[in-house]
Order: sequence, then structure tokens, then C-alpha cells
Amino acid sequence: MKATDRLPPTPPAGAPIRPRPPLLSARRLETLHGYALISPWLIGIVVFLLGPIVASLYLSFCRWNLLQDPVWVGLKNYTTILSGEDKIVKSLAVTIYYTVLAVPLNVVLSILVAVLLNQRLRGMGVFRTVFYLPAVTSGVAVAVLWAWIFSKDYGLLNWALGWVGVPAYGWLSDERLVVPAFVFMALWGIGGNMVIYLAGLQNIPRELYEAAELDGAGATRRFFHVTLPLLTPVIFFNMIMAVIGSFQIFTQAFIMTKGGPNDASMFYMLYLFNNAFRYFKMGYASAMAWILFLIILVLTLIQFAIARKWVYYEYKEPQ
Amino acid sequence: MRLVQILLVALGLSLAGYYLFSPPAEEREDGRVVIEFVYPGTPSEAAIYRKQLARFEETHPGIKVKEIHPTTDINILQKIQIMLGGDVPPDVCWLDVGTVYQFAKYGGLSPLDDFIRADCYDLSDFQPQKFLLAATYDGKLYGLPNGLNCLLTFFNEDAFRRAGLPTPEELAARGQWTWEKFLEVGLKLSDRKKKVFSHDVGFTHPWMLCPVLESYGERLVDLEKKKCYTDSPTCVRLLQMFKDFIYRYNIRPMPDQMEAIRGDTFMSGQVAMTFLGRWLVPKYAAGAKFKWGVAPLPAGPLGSRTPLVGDFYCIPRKARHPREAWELVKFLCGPEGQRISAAGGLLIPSRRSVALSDVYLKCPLMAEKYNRVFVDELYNHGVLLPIDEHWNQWASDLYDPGLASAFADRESIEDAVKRLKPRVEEVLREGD
Amino acid sequence: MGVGKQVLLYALLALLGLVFLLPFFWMVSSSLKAPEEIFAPTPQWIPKEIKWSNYYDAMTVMPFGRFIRNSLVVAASVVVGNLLSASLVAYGFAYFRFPLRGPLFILLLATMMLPGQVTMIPIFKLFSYLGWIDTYKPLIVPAFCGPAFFVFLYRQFFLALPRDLFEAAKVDGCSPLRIYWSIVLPLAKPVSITVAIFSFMGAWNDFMGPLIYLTTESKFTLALGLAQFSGQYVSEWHLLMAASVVAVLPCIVLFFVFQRYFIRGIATTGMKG
Repeated sequence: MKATDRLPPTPPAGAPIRPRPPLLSARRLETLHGYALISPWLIGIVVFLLGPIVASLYLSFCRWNLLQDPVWVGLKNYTTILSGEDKIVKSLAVTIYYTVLAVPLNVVLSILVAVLLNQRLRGMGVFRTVFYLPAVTSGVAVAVLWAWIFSKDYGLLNWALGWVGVPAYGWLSDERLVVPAFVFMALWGIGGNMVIYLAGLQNIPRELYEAAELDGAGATRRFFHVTLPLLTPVIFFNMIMAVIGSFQIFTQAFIMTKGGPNDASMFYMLYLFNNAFRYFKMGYASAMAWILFLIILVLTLIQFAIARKWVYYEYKEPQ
Repeated sequence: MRLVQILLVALGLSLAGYYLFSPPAEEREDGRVVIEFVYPGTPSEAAIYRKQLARFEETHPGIKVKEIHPTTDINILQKIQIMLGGDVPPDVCWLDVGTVYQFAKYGGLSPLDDFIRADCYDLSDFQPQKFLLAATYDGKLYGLPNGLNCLLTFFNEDAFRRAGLPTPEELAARGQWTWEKFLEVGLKLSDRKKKVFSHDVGFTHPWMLCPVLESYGERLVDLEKKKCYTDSPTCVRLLQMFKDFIYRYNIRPMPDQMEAIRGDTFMSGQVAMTFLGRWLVPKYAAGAKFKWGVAPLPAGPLGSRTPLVGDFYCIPRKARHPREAWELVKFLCGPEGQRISAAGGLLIPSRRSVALSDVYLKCPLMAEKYNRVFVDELYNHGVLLPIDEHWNQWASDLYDPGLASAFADRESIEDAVKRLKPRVEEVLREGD
Repeated sequence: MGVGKQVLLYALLALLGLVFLLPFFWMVSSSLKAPEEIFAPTPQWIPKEIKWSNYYDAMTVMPFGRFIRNSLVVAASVVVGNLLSASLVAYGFAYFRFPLRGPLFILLLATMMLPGQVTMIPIFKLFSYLGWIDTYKPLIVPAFCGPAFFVFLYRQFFLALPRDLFEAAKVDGCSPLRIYWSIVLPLAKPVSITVAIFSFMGAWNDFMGPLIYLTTESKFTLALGLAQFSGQYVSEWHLLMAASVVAVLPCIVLFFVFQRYFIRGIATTGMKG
């Protein structure tokens, strides 16, 4: 060994002086920062959710009546559900029917309304508030309100439809109409999604629109070639959340129809609630919950897989 | 710079830690034992409870009651279930007749027998005595009854007079108030075109159907044998009668006009009769614009029968202060507590001495003779409902909605009961 | 846009708006009716007798003012918590690569997929063990732990921003937090306002949480107070409607005030600057 070996290599003449390499590589530093940033969520999950989630998984393999200790029954709950017990199949079918109707309508209408309201015209603020208003009210009052509106004899809807000659239907008492009625009610509350789209629309730089206009694109083309592509991250969000939300619809049915008529609005969550808190079958309800979880998870993963094809992120990862 | 940042973070963390982990409130307040009491009700209903509790604290200086009064009876059940399921039960809780058996059987409540023996507590004043059976499991009593209710015919006296008919009250006095007579007066009181009907309450829920069946000497289910008799000829005949009221005789509106949330058709005069307990009496007394009264339910061959419903006060098994809880239960169900709640008029007192006293009988909400009808029917014609731990599941969620298609005229009664019988029996057998 | 187009737009919006508003008119109308009138056989828009007293009754029969104050405390804290934690966590997920990032993000979404009914009691037990029952902690603290919905929302918006700014700042030697604070957050103003609005409304209207965790009436929030109008035997609809109208007013005002910041955002999106 020579004495000169211990010294850092002398840079060749003319080359820039480089500082000493840092303690951690850039990659390691990024990892550290990443974990540090998501630590509130990680801590939250570990402290507040981990235990209860494991507990509910354990309970799904038990029979538990809330008041006594849970009794292990192995896969019995799951086999009962998967063997297609009467009400399970019906409740899943009702929920899927609702989701298939509600999600596309939700997405399309929210975008439409948001685009309409994105103009810088007078009075738009008032309109935005008007459309957002329904999303703000919730709870018993809204459910009761809609129960009246849908009422066959003295409801607002039939009264209004009567003006255009539509006969009075029993929206909540007719098996064929009750799920569409709930979809209609859900659409009334798209104000929330509209707001998110409005926020998304702000992110689209004006220059792009101006450039498109210069290129001779009309309003529709601008919408389909500028607005929509740049909105895709938000649309993706909307779709995922809409699917998750639709599968878990509960409160309105609980208050307005209790699953009727004849189980036509017995949504999965409602049946789950009944099992948990009315029949004291918490173990069975937990199994139901985990099955729903799996269904939604699979659907979400599928959506993520397809997302590559159509969602456009401005932010491109370094390769 | 870095030091300051570190200090700030440390300060933030310790503040957060203090906030998050500070100890909870103490259980004793100025030397008194604090017991928790869960009960439901609107603010006006709550006012009655508060009066009772104030009086209780006056007479029991060592105990303070912390009220947990969140909300309606559906949500209160959930609250109680979560508290019990989460091992943080209150000391006294309110349970109604449909759920107390379930809680008792599943071990959520403490039996009261030891307390009763130790205090030589006299239960004989609770009438009808058989109502105590609703809170009895395996020979032990799990709750004391707070108040009772039953089902009676409420009639619009003015409507009857206008139609030139004798009222149900008069007919019952003559022993003529039967289902045949009910149909007869109904025909004269109804006019489909004017949307006026004789009644609009269905009798498909077991809590109403069972007493009617009992008046014909039959039962809907046998809990011991886990059998359902809904396909018996009498039951089918009765259900068909109720269905004919809608479609054949037009004295009752069609089901899709009777929605879950709707107004009071009796008070608005659209129907001449309804079937209820006492719970709407204050509302009718305050708002009805016509003369009204009550009469027993239409009678079957054995006379009229009415269901015994009401609520109980119970002590959860893991209550922290059972002794003090027992004191509160005793008071609320005792003569003094009962007298306070009788003044509210929503329940019939569970104690005979109070029910036959002026506090209840001369309650200004109704004429004395009507107050008396409640008591008479309860004591003479009250029947227990077949409530087991699966009551919610088979009675409210299976049987009642199960008859919906038959009553919407999409199915015959015979087919409906044939379909429902095995399913009800299946639920009754669950858990064995 | 041309005048013709403007008129068309206004007309369309007015028509749709009317449909959206009708239920509200109904709600306000019902709040001013006497109880029997609410379910009259034919819908009455104007009550026979305008009962302003319903509002007075609804607000005095329970400690309304106190409930509003409680709701404000909870809602404000939740908004702060959500804004801070969700944006930070989303920032981490969006711009930083670390092992297991993909699976962890799916886990984040997965937490929204499990129905709350079945974790209700284990979570209740957990909070009871921590001694947090009958306090606001179960309602507020989880907001500081990166709630999934808002993290997802922020992450989508962050990914819609171009990388150049981020890279430029990094090369300049800015720490990640500096970048977050000075560049990313200001650009995400529209989202932040959205998150703030949603958080506030969510906390303001949350009924289940207070029902389960609060036992002392003086700590109840407004949503819980509203539920008291449906009683054991009878529901006081007219009072419920009146109280609901009052409960919704702050939300309307808040939204109306803040929604114009959405449009302001356009001016600050000068990315090439």
C-alpha cells in the first residue's frame, strides 16, 4: 500500500470539483422520505385499524351474539353465504343492480354539470351552491324528505309528473321501481362529485384551450381532446369511489323502505346490519362483510389494471 | 435552526401525547356513586324521565344518575348493543318487550331474583302478572316492567254519528263488536272514490295477528315445539278476510298507499278507525279536530284479545354498580316513579295500584271511561306474544314482509302461508 | 361565448337547478307547517298557517346552541387534521418511490372497502380501552392519520401536476418539505378547498360516530340532536324539518363563500412561469 492510496482520488485537471458523496444514496433517501411522509397514515392504521380488522376477521369464523363470548365455528359462516342462502343472493343482486345503474350515471352527470358550471359567468356561484346543496344535507331529514317525495298519493314527484300526464306510480312500493328510485335519489346528491370535478377543471391550463382554439377546434372537440383526457385522474377517482360507495349503500334504505317491498331494496349492507344488530348474528355479519370486501377489492384491482390504458397522468415517473 | 425545529416537534409531540392519553373522567362525583342509565325518547318524552330521576336523587342522596339519552328506539338498541358488546355497559337500561328476552337468553343481563329475595320485594302489584314472563328466561326474572301498552280500536266518533252508526264502544258494550260487524260498519264508512276508508292498518305482523288468532282459540306459532300454524284453516280464513277488506269490500286502501313513512290518516280524517296503543294519545288529545274514543279490538268467538307489550328496566350483567342500579330500577317501577310517568299518559302503569288510581284513570288526555278501557282490556283480555330470541328475524323481517305479495294481490293467501310456514319454522329452530 | 349560448346555458341550469331545489322548497315548506298538514292528501306548497314557531320550538327544546358549538369544534378540528395529514401522505405516495408503495396504496384503498358495521364494536372496545369514550378524540384523532378518501383525492391531483417544477426544485437543493410547502400545496389549492369543504360537511353531518362514542348530552353534536326528533312513539316531523334547515344553513354559507376560490385557481396555474 502506498501513502497516496488513502487520499481521495485527485480529479483530473479541468474537471469540476465534486462535494463528498452524502451518507445515504439518493434512492435510500427517497425511501426514507417516502415512509416518513406516509407515517401518519401508517401509525393510524396500526394503532386504530389493525386490531379491529384482525378481530373482525376472527369473528367471521365465529358465532357471536354480542353478549356472550364468541364461539369458533370455522368456515361455517362462509359456506352458508357461498352456498347461496336465499336472502344473500337477493341482496347481492339488488346491490349489483343498483351499482350498475348508479355509477355510470353518476360519473357522466357529474362531469356534465361541472363543465356547465365552470364558466366565468355571473351567477355561477349561486348555481354551484344550488347543485351542491343536496350533497350537504344528509341523515334522517333527507331520507324522510325523499320518502314523502316518492309517496304515491301525496308525493312531490307524482304531483309534478301529473302535470305532464304521467300516471302516479308507487316509487317505493313497486318492486320494479324502488331501486331506480334510490338511483334517482343518489343522483340528486352528485354535487359532491361535481365539486371535485370543478377542482380538477381548474388544473387544466388555459394555454391548452387557447392553443386548441387556434388550431380550429370547436367546443365539443376541445372538450373531448383537452378537457376529458386531463380529467381522467379525477374520473378514475370518481369511478373507484362510486363503486365502493354504491356497494355500501345503507342509510336511505334503512330509513325509507327497510328493504321492502318484498326485499326489492334489501341491499347487502342492510341485510348485513340486520344480521349484526337485529338477529345478533355478528359472526355471520362479519363473514358477509369480508366477502363484500373481497368483491370490491377485486373490482378495484381490475379498474386499476385497466387504468393504464386510459388514465393520463401529467406526472411521469423517471424510469 | 435545527435545534429549534427539534424542540418544536418535541413540544408538539408531548402536547399530543397529553391530549391523547389523559385519564378519563372519574366515576365518583362528590362522594356519590354515579350510575349510567340509558333510555330513549323525544325531548318531551325525556322530560318525564328527568322528573323521575330528579325525585330519585332526592330520595337517594348517595347516588347520582348519569343519563345517556341519545335518540330513537332503533338507534338506542344499537347503542346498548355496542355498549354491551364493547364491555362498557350502563348500569340500568331500558329494553322493550321485543328485545328483552333476547338479551336475557344471550346472557347480557343480570337476573334480578337475588335482589328481589334480599329485599323481600313484592311483585304481586305488577299486573297482569303474566307480563313478567316476557322478561323471564330459564325461570329467572331479568327486568321489572315499567309500563304497558296494548292494542285497541281508536274510532272517530263524529264519523260514526254522521253515518248514523253505533260506535264500536256501544257495540262492544252490547257484545256485538265482532269482525262481521266491523265489516258492516266499514262498508258504510268507506268510499273509495273519496279516498275515505274505515281503517288502514294491516294485521299481518304477528304482534297484531297473534291476539286475533287467540280470540279464535288458535296460535300462530308454538315456541316449545318450534312449529308454525299459519297454514291452519282458521288462520288462512282470517288472513283472507283481511285481504278481502282491501280488494273485495274496499274498506281498506291498497298496500302501496300505505307506505313506511306517512302521515296520520286517522287524525286527518281519511280513516274512521285505527288500531294502536296509548302512544299517540297525547298527539290526538292535542290535535284531533273531532271527537274520538277507544274500544276493544273486534272479538272472535272467544271474545276480544289484545297483545301485552311494554318495556322493562334491566341491569346488564357487567354493570359496575348493580346494587345502586337495583335501587334505581326499584324506584322507577315503584309507586312513586310510576305515578310520575302515568301523568305523561303514554303508558299504562305496570302496577295495578297505580293503574287503578286517579293518577292514571283521571289522566286528562282522555275521558275516564276510555282510560279504563285500556286497563280492562289489559287485565281481562291481554295475551303474551310468542317472543323468542328470533322474534325480529321471523316476525318482523320474514313473516310480515312475506305476506306482502299476497296482500298486493300477486299471490294467494294459501300459497303465501305454504311458503312461509317452513321458513318460519327454520328460523325458530336456529341455534339449537 | 355568444349571447345565444349564454341564454341556453342559463335556461338549462335554471331548469336543472329547479329540480335540484324542489326538495329543499319542500323541506322549508314542511318546516313551517303544523304537524297534521305535513301529510295532507294533496301536496301543499304554502302552509295554511305559517308556523314560525316551529323554528323557535325546535331550537329551544334541546340545547341547540351548544350542539352547534360542539359540532363546530369537531368539524374545525377534523378539517385541520384532514388537510394536513391527507396532503402529506398523498405527497409521499405520489412523488416518492419506496418499496411496497403499490401494495400499501392498495391497502389504503382497501380500508374503505370493509363495511364499518363489523369493525364498530372492536374499534369501540379499543377506544374504551384507551379511555376515549365520551370524548371527542375518536372523532378527531383519526382525521390526523391520513384518511383514505382524501389521500386518494390528493394523490390523483398531485399526479396531474407536471414533474418539471418538482425536479427543478429538487436540483436546487430544496428539502422535500420545502417543495411540499412552497410549490405543491399552493398549486393544489382547489383540491385543498374541496377537502376542507368535504371534511367539514362530513364531520358536521356525522351521526354514527357521536352516537356510539358520546354519552353525555352536553357533548352531543347537532347531527345527534336532530335524531332526537324521532322518538320512541312518535316523530315530530315539523320540528325535525325546521332543525334540519337550520343545520344546513352554515354549510350553504360556507360553500357559497369558498366556491369562488375554485375559479380563482385558474389565475395561479401559471406553470410555465
